[in-house]
Amino acid sequence: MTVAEQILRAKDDYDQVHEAGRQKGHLEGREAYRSDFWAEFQQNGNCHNYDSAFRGDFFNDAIYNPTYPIIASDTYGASYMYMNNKRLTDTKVTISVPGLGSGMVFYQTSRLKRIPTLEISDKTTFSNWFAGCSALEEMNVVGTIAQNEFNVRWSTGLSKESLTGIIRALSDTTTGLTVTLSLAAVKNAFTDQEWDSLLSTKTNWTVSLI
Amino acid sequence: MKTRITLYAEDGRVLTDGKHFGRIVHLDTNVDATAWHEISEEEYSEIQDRTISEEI
Repeated sequence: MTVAEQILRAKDDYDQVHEAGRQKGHLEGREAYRSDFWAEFQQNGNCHNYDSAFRGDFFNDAIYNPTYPIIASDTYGASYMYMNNKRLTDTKVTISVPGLGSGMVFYQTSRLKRIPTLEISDKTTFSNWFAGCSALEEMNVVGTIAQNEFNVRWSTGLSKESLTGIIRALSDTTTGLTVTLSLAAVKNAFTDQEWDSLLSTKTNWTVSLI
Repeated sequence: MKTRITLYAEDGRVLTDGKHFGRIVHLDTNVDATAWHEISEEEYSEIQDRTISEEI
């Protein structure tokens, strides 16, 4: 190899190392910025009011990366949280809404497929939470449903596990309350025998299928 | 032990108690069926459209 060839090769090596370093730095910088953003946005996990936080179409799957569980424990703290967001498909983290009053939390989130865990309490009210959630397939409800208006009739593809979780979460002690599910989802997920068996555990609830 | 009553809507009809709607309704064993009655699909659609426009 001539001296000129050696110089050219060294330059190529340098360029490759430089480009690799630049890309690594770029990715690390972007990740650090993203991490800082979510730490600030969620107040290092101390934010408890997410009223309208992800409402509309600003957040999509690429830029929505919460670092902490979303614990909307203030009164009305989850109201309109994802309302009319038609880009997100996954809430990615646990959503915890133990308090009173929040409405329209997932209203018209028509592409949302997955809520990994939805933590509620017997005080949680469900006014129009899931209206228009036509893509919802997976939602693991943890806690007790003890208020009216839990209605997922729009979610025709809700999984057997999700539907089972909803029925199991119904309070054993309340009476006179109604839960509404998609008839198509129930028919797709259960045999008649399985459904009857599951329902027999909650005879204190009216279960409406539409 | 009380037996759960299940109501089935006729084709083209929807059951309602004024607040909730269903084509099949499995009743709470502590409530009676008299609160539920049938409406037409058209009436049901109108109520749904009206509810959504009021909310927005």
